[in-house]
Amino acid sequence: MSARLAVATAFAALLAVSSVEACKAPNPNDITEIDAPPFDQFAGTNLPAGQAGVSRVLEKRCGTLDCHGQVGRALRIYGVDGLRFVEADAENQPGQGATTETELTANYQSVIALQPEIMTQVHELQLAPEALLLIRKPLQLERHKGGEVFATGDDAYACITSWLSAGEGVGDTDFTSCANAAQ
Amino acid sequence: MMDARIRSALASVVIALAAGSAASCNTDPVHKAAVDNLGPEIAGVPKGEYHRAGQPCLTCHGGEGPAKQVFTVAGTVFYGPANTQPPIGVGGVTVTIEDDYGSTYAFTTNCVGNFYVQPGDWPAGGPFFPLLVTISATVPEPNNGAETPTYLAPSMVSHIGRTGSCADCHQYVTQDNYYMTPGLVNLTQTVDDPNYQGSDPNCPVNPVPAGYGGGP
Repeated sequence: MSARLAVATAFAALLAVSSVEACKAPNPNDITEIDAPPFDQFAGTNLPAGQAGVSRVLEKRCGTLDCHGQVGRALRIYGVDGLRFVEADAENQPGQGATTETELTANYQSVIALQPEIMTQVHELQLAPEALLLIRKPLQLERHKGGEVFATGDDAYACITSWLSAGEGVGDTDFTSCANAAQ
Repeated sequence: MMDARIRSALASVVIALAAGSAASCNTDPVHKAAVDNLGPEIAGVPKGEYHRAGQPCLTCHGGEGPAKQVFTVAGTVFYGPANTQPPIGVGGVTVTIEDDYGSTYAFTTNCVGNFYVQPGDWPAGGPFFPLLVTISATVPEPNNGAETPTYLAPSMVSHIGRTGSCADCHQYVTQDNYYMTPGLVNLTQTVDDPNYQGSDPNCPVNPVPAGYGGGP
């Protein structure tokens, strides 16, 4: 076999192997466990005036109907002033009522499942919050069509980063900063 | 053997032709579908400032074509929420837009409710998103049979994150989209005059959009 033929054969074999690898279906039994920050502090229900949960900040800053308030988004945010969750017995419309428990749960799932492994590492203080797209994009550390949504150290940053580490012995979510950021 | 200068000239022609074709064709299937979904022009309503009230203007006027005139923000203001069958465009409404740098400019709707912002209307390449918007006007209000002019100035509850077309979010509410639209841009939220016929009886185009009972 000539050297040229040998190279071509090896290349074809490599292509075949990579094609098979690329076409493998995901294993439905694979489970990625997420050690995530607490839901109750994300939802922020039953907080006194002047305090708010993390979801309210995301609803206000990110969840407008022309941005993350769209069903096709990986980070998909529901809320009273944006996209509403379609529930069988409710006809939620933007601007009416309040953000529902179902919507808060959907927001929480969307946020923690965006990068599950990194979310776990950030929550367990193994990585800085800036490792997450949730923080990188609005800080413009990475391309973000919505531009710079908050800055390091401001109320929105303090709210979200304090929640990310909540329950790990470094304090709870800064609900006052959340309320300020949601105004 | 072809002369090098001739080959070079031919290559230039081919490249220019290819570039021209790409520029004149809409090669983005998503954009093409969005334009097609708007449907054809309505007979009797010429292309211009009065056409396609209530549609997402920047689908065609956003720089990707097919319209040549480019807008940065544009939309339609309608009368009232209880008067949405059919919706009536309202003229003379001041649309005040504040951008991310705090620059504020005002624009006025024409008699079908349309307004638009062109690139030169805002300095330094603005407006810069996110935007805050307030609309304001004085409208007649039924008051025990006597119409009392009422000044209204509703503001958007949330900001506009990135789209320049009001109608990308503000759509006529149906059973299919109620969960993802706050409804048309309405001047009045509480006042509703059932006899309201539009702001200008001499408007060259019916302020009720075609498709909602209106026409040319």
